[in-house]
Amino acid sequence: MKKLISIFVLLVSFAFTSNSYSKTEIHWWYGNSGFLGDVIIEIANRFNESQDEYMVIPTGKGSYEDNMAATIAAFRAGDQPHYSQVYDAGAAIMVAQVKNGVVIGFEEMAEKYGIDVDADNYIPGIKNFYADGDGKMIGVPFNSSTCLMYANMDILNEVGIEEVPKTYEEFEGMAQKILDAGYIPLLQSHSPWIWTENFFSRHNLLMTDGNNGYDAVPTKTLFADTEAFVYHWTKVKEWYEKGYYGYKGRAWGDNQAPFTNGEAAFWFGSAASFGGMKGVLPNFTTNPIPYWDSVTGGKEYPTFIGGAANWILNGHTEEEYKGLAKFIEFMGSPEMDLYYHNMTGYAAVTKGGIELAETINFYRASPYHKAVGDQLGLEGSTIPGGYRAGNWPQIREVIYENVEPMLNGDITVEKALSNMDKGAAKLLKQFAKTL
Amino acid sequence: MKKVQFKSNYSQYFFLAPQLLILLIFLYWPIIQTFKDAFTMQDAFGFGSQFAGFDNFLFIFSDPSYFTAFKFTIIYSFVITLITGSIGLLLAVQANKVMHGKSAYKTLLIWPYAIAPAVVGVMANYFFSERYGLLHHLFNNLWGFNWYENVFDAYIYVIIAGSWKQISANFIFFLAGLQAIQKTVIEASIIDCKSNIRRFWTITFPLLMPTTFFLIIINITYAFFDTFGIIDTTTIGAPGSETKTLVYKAYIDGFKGLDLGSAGAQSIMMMIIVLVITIFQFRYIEGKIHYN
Amino acid sequence: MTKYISSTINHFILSIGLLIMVVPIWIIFASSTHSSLFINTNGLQFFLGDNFIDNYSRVLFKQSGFFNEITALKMFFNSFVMATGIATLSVITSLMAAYGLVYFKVKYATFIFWLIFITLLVPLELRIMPSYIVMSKLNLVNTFAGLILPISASAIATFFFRQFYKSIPDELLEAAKLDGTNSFRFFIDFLIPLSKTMIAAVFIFMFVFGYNQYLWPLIMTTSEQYWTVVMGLKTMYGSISDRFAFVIMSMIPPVIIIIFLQKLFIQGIFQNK
Repeated sequence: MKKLISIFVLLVSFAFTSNSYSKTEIHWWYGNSGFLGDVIIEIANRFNESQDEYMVIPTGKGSYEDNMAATIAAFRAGDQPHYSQVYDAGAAIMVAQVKNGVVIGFEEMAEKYGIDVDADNYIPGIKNFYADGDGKMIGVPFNSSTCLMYANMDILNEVGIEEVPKTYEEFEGMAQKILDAGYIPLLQSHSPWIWTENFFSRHNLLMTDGNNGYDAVPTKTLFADTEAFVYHWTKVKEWYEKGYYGYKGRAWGDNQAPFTNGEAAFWFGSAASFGGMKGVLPNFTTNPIPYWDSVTGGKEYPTFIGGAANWILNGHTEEEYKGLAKFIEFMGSPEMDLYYHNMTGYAAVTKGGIELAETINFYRASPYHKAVGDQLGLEGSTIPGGYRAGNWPQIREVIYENVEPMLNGDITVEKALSNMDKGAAKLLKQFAKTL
Repeated sequence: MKKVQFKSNYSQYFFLAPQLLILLIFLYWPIIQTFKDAFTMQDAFGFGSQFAGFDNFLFIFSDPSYFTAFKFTIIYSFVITLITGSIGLLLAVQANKVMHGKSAYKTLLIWPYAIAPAVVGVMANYFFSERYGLLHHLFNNLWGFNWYENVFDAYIYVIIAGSWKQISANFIFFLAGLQAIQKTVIEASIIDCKSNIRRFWTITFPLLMPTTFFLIIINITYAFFDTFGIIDTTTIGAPGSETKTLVYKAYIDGFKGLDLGSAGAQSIMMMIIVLVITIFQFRYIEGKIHYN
Repeated sequence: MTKYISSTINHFILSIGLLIMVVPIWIIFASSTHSSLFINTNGLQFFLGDNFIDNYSRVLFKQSGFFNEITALKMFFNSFVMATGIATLSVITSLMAAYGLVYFKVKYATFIFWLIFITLLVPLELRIMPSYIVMSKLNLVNTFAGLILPISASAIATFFFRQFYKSIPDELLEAAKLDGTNSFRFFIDFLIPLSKTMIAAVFIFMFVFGYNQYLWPLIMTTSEQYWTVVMGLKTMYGSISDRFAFVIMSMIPPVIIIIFLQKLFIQGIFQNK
C-alpha cells in the first residue's frame, strides 16, 4: 500500500513538472511550420552558438492564428513570451497594444538598449507596414513576403507563349490557348490577401476610409464602391465560368498543388512559396503579379507585404531584454538577413541585406529571389504602405465566405462585395469600440 | 434514492470532493468567464473592456452566417442521428441473430468507434480529394460532385465523414440493448406472434426504447460537438460558411478572430439550445418509454 | 428453406456493413505501404506494397522540432500517458462522486447532482479560450496535468456509476451495516469488487475518449515535448505515404484496447441497462 502511494505521488509530481534551462532564456513564439519553422530554429541555434549568456528558445505554435491566440492567452495569464511572430492581419491589433503597455515598440527598444540597427536601414514599404501612425516602427520586420505570380515555363513554351503576361489584359488574351492545350490557365491561393488587399495596393487604390486606417480609425471598407474592384471580380467570375481560373477551395495548399504538379500555367502565391517548389517543378519563374492596364494606365504600383513581424512583449526583466536586443541585432545583420532571404524567399528586409546580396551577385545565381524585391521596391504610390484595420482576420473570413457563392453564381458580384462591406463595417465598428 | 443510506456525517464530502473540485476549477471557472465575456466588449488582449449588455447577442443575431451555422447544425444532427441510428440498429439486429461468425462480425464492426474524429476526417479528406479521392471520382462521375462549390456536395461530404464512425457506436449500444432483453420475453413473443418483422416492431423495438433514447442524446451530442475534429480536417466550414457547426463557428470567432465577446455569446446560445433539446427529450420522449 | 434464405440475407447485410467499416481503413493501410511517388502516380492502393518497414520506421523515428526530440514515438507516448491519466482519474473521481450521491443522505444532493449534470451541456469547445487562460494562470500549460485534469471530470462516468449503484439491492448495505462497517470499508470491500466490470467499461470508454481528444491538446500543447498525436496529424507535412502511416499508427492504441477488451466494455454497458 505504501509503495502504491509513493508511486502515485511520483506520478502526480511528474504530471506537474515542466522543463527549464540555466542561461538567461528568451522565449520566441512563432507561427511558421514545416521548412520555414526549421529555418527559424536554425537562426536561433546560430545565435545561441555565437555567444554564451543568452539562449533563445523558439517554440512553434502551429499557424499564425494559433500563435496569436496563444500569445494573447499567455498574456492574459501573465505568462507571455518575450518575442512573438504576429502576422500582417494582426498588425492593427498589435500596434494598438503599445498604449496598453502590452507591446514595446521596436524603435523604443532600439533606443533603450542601443541596438545597432537603424530604423532607416529597413526598406520603406516594409518599415511602414508595421509602424504606427507617426511612422515609428513598432513591429520588427521579419518574414516579409508579397504575392507573386509563378509561371510554368514548360507549359508556356509548349503553347507558344514567349513572355509572361504583365497585365491581366495580356493574360486574358492567352488564357484560351492554354486551356485548349489542356492546362489550367490560372490559380491563386488566398482571395483576401492576393485578390483583395493586394488588388487595392497593386492598383494604388484605397481599401478603407481613413486613409487605410493610417489617418483615422476605419469605419468601412470600399469594396463595392470601387469600380475597378467590381470590374475585377466580374472578370474573375467570367474566367471561372470559362475555365480560365480554377478555384480549388480555401486551403492554400489545395490551390497550389495543381501548379506544383505541372497542371497549371500560372499561380499566384507568396514569395516564400518557391522553396517548396524548387526540387519539384522543373522550369518555373517568379514574376510580379499582373494588374489591369485599363485601371492604372500602365503604371505599376508596389503591393503590400504579407508574412509577419516579430513583436516585443512587455513584462520581462532588464537582463532578458538586453539579450533580446542582442538577438534582434543579430537577426538584423546583413548576413542573417541574406541568409533568411536566401533560404526562404522572403524579402531581404534591410538595405544592408540587399546591398550584400548585390555585392555577391546573389540574384544572378538565384533569380527567383529578385521579383519580390523588385515588386516591393516600386515607387510612386500615393496610398499608405499598408492598412491599419482591426478585426482583420475576421474580415478575411467574411471575404472567403462571399467568394464561393459569388463564383458559383449564387449571388451577384455586386451583392457579394456589398455583403463583404457590410460584414467588414460591423467588425470595424466593434473594434473601434474597444479602442 | 436508495432507502438504505449512510447517515450524513462528513465522509460523503470526501467522496464528492475530487470530482467537484475538478469541476469547479476546470469547468465552472471557465464557464463563468465565458458568461462574463458574453456581456463585455473587449479587444483581443482584454483591454478596453466595457460592459456591453446584450450587444454581443444582437451582433450574432444580425449575422447571416450565424443562422447558416444554426441551420447546418440542426440538419446535420438530424441526418446523422437518423443514418447512424438506423444502420446501427439494422446491423445490431443482424449481428444478434446470426449463427456463425458472431464475434468476428462484432469485432470488425466495433473498431471504428475507437478512431478519433480528427483521424476519420483526415482519411475522409483523401477519399474526397480531387487528386486521390475514390469517392470524389465516383460522385463526380455520377453528378458532377464538387464539394467546394456545391453546398449539397459539401453536406454529403461531412455527413458521410461524420456518420461513418458513429454507426459503430450505435451498433455497440443497440447490440448491448438487444442482448439485455431477456430470453424469456423473446420466447414468449415467438409463441404469440410468428412473423419476425411484426414481432420486432411490436415487442423488441419498444423494449429498446431506453437504448434508443440514450442513443439519440449521444448522437446529437456527437453531431453538435464531437464533429469538430471532422469539420476542422475536412471542409473547414466551406463553402461560404455552410458547413460550420455552431460550435465550430464559435471557435473560429473566438480563437482565430479573437472576438471573445461574440464567442461567449455564441457559447451561451449553444448552452440554451442544448438545454432546450435535452428538456424536450426528457419531457416528451421519455414519457413515452415503457421501462421494463 | 426460409431459414436458409433469412440466414443468407443475415450474412449479406452484415458483410456489407463490414465492408463499409473495414475497406476505407484497409485502403489507407495498403497505401501506406507504398512509396509516395507510387501513390502520387497511381492513386490510392488496394494492394500491399513493399515499403512497409521503410515508411513506418521513418515516420516513427524521424526527429524534428527545436530540441530534435520530437518523434512520432514521443507523440504516441504523450497521447498514451494523457489517455491513461484521463481514464484513471475519471474512474476514481466518478466512482467516488457517484458513491457520495447514492449512498449518503447529503443535504444538497439534488443540487450537487445538477451541478455535475449541467456540465454535460458545456463541452470543452464552448469554453476553450477561458479554459486555456485558466490553465495559464495555474501554470499548468505545458504539463500532463494540464492535459489531463480538465477532461477528467466526467459527468457521463458519474452517471453510469450512479445508475449502477442504484440497481444494487439494498440488502447488501443492510447486511454490511449489521456487521458494523463504515462507509469507507463498505466502499472498498464491497462496492469496488462488485463494480469491476463497470470500472473496466468506464476506463475503456474514457481512455478512448481521452486519447482521441482533438481541440484541447491542440491548444494546450504549446511546447513541443508535450505534443500529442493530434499535433502530429496537423503538422506532419511529410509525403503522403508518411501521412498515411502516421494515421494508421495513431489509431492503434485505442483500437487495440477496444478490440481486446470489447467483452468487458459491452458487459459493462449491458449491466447498466
